[in-house]
Amino acid sequence: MPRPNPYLPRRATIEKAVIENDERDLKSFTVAFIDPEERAAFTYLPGQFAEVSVYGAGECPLGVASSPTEGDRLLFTVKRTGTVTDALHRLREGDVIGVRGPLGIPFPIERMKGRSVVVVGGGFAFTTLRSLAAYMLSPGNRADFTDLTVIYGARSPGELLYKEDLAAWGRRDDIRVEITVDEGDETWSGHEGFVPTLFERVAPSSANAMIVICGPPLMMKFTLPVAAKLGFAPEDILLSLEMRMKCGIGKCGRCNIGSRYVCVDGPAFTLAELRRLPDEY
Amino acid sequence: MREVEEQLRSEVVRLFAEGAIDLFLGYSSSRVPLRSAACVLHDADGVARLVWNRTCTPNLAALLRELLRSPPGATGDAPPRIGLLAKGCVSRSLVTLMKANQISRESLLIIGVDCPGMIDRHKVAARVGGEIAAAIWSGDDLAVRATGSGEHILSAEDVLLDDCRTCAHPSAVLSDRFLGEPRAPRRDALDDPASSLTEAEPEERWSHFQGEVARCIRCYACREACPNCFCTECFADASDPRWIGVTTDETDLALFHLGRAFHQAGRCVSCGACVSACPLGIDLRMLYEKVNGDVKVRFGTDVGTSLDEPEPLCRFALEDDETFMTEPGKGGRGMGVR
Amino acid sequence: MNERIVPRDAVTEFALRIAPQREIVGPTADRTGIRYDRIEGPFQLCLDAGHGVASPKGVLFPQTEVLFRFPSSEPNETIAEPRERVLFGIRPCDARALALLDRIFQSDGVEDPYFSARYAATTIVSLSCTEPGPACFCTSVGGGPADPAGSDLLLIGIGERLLARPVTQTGRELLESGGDLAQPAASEHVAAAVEAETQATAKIEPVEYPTDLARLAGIFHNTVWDEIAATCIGCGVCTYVCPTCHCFDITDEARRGRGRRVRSWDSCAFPSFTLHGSGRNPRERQAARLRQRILHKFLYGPERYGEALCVGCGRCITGCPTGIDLRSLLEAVTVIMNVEGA
Repeated sequence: MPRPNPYLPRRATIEKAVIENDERDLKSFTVAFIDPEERAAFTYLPGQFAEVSVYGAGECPLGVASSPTEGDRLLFTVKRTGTVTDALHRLREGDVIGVRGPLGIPFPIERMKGRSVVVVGGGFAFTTLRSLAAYMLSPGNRADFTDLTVIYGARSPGELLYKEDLAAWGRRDDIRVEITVDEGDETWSGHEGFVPTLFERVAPSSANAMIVICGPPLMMKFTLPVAAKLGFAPEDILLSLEMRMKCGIGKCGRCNIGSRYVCVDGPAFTLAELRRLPDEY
Repeated sequence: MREVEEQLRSEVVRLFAEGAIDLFLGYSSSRVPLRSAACVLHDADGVARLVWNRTCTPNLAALLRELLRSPPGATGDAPPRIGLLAKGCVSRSLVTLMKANQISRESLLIIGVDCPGMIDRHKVAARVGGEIAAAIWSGDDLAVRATGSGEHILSAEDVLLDDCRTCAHPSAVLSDRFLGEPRAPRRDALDDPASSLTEAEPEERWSHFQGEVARCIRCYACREACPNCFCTECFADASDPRWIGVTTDETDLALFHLGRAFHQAGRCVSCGACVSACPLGIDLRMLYEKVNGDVKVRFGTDVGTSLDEPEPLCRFALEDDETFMTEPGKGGRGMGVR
Repeated sequence: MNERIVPRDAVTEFALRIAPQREIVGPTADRTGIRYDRIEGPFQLCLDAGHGVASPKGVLFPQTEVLFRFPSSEPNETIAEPRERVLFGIRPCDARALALLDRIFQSDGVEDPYFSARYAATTIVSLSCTEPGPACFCTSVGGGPADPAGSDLLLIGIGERLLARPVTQTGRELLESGGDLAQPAASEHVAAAVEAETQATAKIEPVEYPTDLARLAGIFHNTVWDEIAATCIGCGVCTYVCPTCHCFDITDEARRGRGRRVRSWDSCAFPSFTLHGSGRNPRERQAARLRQRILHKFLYGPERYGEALCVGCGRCITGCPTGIDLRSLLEAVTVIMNVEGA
């Protein structure tokens, strides 16, 4: 029997490519595996990621932004920062990419059930958080959770991701959605200011609640004290780490922090776990 | 050297006592036979560890990069004043680095010495055909016990680094204190033809080069051991754009070594640190000597001997030899074209 | 016991006889000592010149390896079942290291098929050390000059003879095929082997290394790391010559859509290893990188895999361009740990 090859990506077609922001450096791709069997085999939950290949440019780790409750298409949102992401941005609908995954472990959905969930995101690191929110809001799952709160911010209105989703969630009464921008413009009538400030103002209850935080290092740094002040326990605070991952299967050593590998033990860790690790993330 | 070693220790004690230096960079003994280690002292306590012998191969100037960037145990913002031991080649590296604005004269207290030449561990290994298990010096003679092949008696002269054999400036050219007697430049060595391959046919040179670089494991010891390699990002590491691949394929290896060699033209002080550093004993010298030799012959440079003279590739003179441009293929010796 | 005796001067013949259909890879003479290469006939094996600058790791985990080519249509196309191979005459430390690599490449429920396939197809015949090298410290990290771990068959040098001791069933079968070149060993041979091992062990200087994991973790922020890294120039020699270092990079090389994906060794000593696209580097300083290497071997390894990821071969010591000695570093760290570690 041939050995399974975890390094071999599965071929997938870009069905849709949408520019997300005014800066035009964030692009979302809706992709579908070419082989229906592979489509069915990619079973994932919010919080996991995939290694996405542009053949010839290389691979990069991307959080899956879609939710499995939305169908078998995968959503990836990519910021143009280097060789691979640059190549991805140049691709068009119909082009073929490679997808390896799902990798990493999902957010602890089972631990979240029966509790309130707060999602705090900043900038383009809202991908797996979108997945989580969409997952919890899906008709079959919503009843598993009590209060849901999404707090999200970006530099300017034009930099906010998933504007349609945010608007749709905002119209619902079973989730609280609070959006802020560092600096508004003439079109903006919402909050202005940084995410931690808004988070403190919204002050979601920490009673029987978990919180998931993902964003730039500085935002995470200032959000954590607020979470502590609101009474969230370190075991109930989840942080999703960005780390240079290569193999995604705990071999190449790149994302090693202490005895953990972000790619197989993460990418999300509880604050309690992170405190036991060296601060090398 | 024993005498200078003693003088060095008392000088370093004095410098620390006077508060003249915050750190001292020198060599210490190693638990591995025929090797010395680079060593950083923070106070006079460890001064007994300092050695000065014929195994002091690392070019200490290469360690200044990291030391000045993040000095161990530094508390204040002021860069530390570093005392260091400088043999001839190290002093010339310091001059080169000062001219390239990488270090300031004021941050250094240079203790100059004369260097009798360092031994090449790869030559010793080749002579004894095994791992060096133990070694004892008797004057310039060396008794080596190797695993599997017993004892061998060698003379230091037989196993000198090639760069030391042809060294023109064994004494430090720049120093605040000089221990022992400085030696005048060795005029006989100045016009050394350097690489034995220079006169060989291109095919022969190419096949020698290929055979050598095929051994490379891309550990970059040659680069990191070299004071000249101070680029913030080496062309070999750049990923956007990626100039060369990261593999050990023939092309990637050749490009790395050719690229590095070209960057040494007119800048290499021929310290031999890269040759000593290379774990595989690759003949790196052929390339650097070649390009460096060409610059020397054409522009009369004697690398690292003058703080005032501009670097050869940073100046222009009407009398500069231009035949390599105007008459390619006919130019003077050694431009690699028949 | 089913040990046998092989005359030392017949060792190549023995190797060729026990592995007639297989490729034999072993130490061959090289100008820096030995290198691991294919053995095809007599006079190639070089068993007396130490364990080499570079370890035999590259035989099973090549420095550069093509994972697959593209455009590709066939999944799994590139993992051909590797040839059956005998790794002959490697040292016990290296055999132990390969077993550690196998464990790492099998970890987390995902097998690295490239390494694992080669390892599974490789039979390891190791040779004990009678003259340990100047930087060897295997006895301090759980190994020894005649340690059988990771070997199928262990050869122990006793004067002009080798005592062949099977370790696994494969080793037993291999030894059976030695025929008249492998005569049954007498009790005096076995006693001589014990004596040889004792003598070799006595030549190895013990090193005190940190084993109290909690206390070792406790000195993460100690300045000892800056002190020991003061002369580290950030090259990758230690990691590339190390038989257990296994970090790698994956890159694509292509022209006009046709090309290959390759993996190449990488090193935690290089600043680029952890450099993020944003320019941020969680291990910005050389001291942090050297600490990572040491803690990965002596703290994270034991925590994650239950074993230190160092076999005491000493290659990083003899290979270091500035003479950094891992033994001294471990001793310095142990001293600090005993004083400061909470």
